[in-house]
Amino acid sequence: MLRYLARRILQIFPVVLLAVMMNFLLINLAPGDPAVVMAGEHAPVEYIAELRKSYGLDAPVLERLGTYLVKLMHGDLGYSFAYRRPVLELLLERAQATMLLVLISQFFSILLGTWLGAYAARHHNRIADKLISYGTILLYCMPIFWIGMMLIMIFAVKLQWLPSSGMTSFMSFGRPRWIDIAIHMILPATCLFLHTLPIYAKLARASVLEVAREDFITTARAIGFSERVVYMRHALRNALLPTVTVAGLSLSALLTGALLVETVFAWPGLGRLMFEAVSARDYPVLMGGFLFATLLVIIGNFIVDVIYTYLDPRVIYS
Amino acid sequence: MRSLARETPLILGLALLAFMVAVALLAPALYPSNPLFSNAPPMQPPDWAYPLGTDHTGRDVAAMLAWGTRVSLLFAFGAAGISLVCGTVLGAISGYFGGLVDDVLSRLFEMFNIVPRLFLIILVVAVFGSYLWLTVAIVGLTMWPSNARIMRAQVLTLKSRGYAQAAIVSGAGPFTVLFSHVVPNGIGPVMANSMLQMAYAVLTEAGLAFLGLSDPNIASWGQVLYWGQGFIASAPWMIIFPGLAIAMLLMSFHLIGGTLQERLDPRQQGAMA
Repeated sequence: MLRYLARRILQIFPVVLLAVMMNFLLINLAPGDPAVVMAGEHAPVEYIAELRKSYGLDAPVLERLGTYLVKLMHGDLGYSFAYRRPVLELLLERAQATMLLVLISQFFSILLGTWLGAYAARHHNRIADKLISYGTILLYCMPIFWIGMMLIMIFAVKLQWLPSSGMTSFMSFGRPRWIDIAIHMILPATCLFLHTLPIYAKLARASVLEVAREDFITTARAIGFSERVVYMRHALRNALLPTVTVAGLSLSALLTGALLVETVFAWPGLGRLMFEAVSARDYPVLMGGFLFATLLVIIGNFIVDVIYTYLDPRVIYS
Repeated sequence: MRSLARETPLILGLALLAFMVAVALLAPALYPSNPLFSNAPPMQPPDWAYPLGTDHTGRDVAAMLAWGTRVSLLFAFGAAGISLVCGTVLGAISGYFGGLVDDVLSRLFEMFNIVPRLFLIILVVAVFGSYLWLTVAIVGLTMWPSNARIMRAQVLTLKSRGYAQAAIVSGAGPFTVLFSHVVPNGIGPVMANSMLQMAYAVLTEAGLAFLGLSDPNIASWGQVLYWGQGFIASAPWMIIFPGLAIAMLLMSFHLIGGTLQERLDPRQQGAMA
């Protein structure tokens, strides 16, 4: 087990290196001065000159790559002039809001999606199944930021029940801070929830249908368990493994979703930061954000793998 | 003989796609002037003259969406096409030759799969500029790993079949065997996956435009949504219609792709695309 974990951790490096190489390639292939790309368009001339010196931008390619890697390993992701702060600091701060949004929406998405899928499988090819199936496809076909704008249109503009943007109110009206945040989170979290719900519903339906053909289900029926118990307790439990896998694999899609949702709702997370960096042509933030997102996905995959070893005792790691 | 009712998803999907293609082809005839010229009163709600309303600068939303259909279809077919070619070739080579080539390529598929695509695309487009064809190429080049993985698995099972072995014995070179015997027989699942990739490409275009990374001289669905986000309260038609257009096109890809997948894997039955 320990050796497996160690090997898994070692496998992280090539992917990180790939992302770093892409960044490096971009800096050097970009039209114009690489120093400007590294500094962002808001940087003063002196800083660009200094950057050129400290990264040895006049040196040969391999030497530059070396300097770049060393700087990265020291956690130096550059400096954002749009925010006047180091990029790493900015990313770490914004990641918290993203995490909050992603974790809460995924919790409900996995729970409800799996239940919906299992329910559809239990009523295979009947009306409930068709409704759930077509409903999930329909959701799947709507751009996430469009769902977000529709939610704003209905709940913030028409009904005026919920705030449409930000994480906290300017005036808190005496509410505790966490309630204020929770109220602001309802719409963006719902949006992200609706975005990933179809994935889990579809998956649970397929895997429950798959399991439903196996002998132990027939046995459970023969014993006389009710259909509900057969499906929800026996079939679903065995169908959960693919859900864990997909939860890990779809992390990068999830971050993409979060990026767009945060943009719509001005949720101050990583995605919103990327959006602001796009409009400010703040390249260090964009590059740092890409690296950071890659790292998040890798770590997430790693955690899922570890969970998997506990969930499925049949899996032997050598 | 399958009953017509069972074919409903496929027929519906093809009909939707045909409608979209027709709109794309007819756009210059229907709206001959540049859709980005303002020649209507601004902020008109939908009526007979402007069935989908007009935007804040007096542009006809219907005209912009009709022209935008071309952009979306370009992304769908262009990006998915690039991904199809790259994925098929690399996956086939990886599966057929095995050994070190396979090890290296498989690793590459895995790594590319982990990298968060949209973050990378945003970075590239922000640095290089939002040129239409560049964006199509980048989207296509970030999508191929899943095609490659499918193709690799197909080749692994197909290369030991009789007809492939017969071709090898009769003296055909490895690339001839691979690309004229093995790949054509295994392309099915890759095509099904390509339908889903087309949907993804359309979504990516819309997402990029929504982030302000679309060519400002081209009317696209995402672009209209981007312009409309400031007018959610005052001009909801600027948001509702482009979103519906995207959902319709995506629906057609999912319906067609779902049917394809089902035919290729008869174990999987039912309505879920």
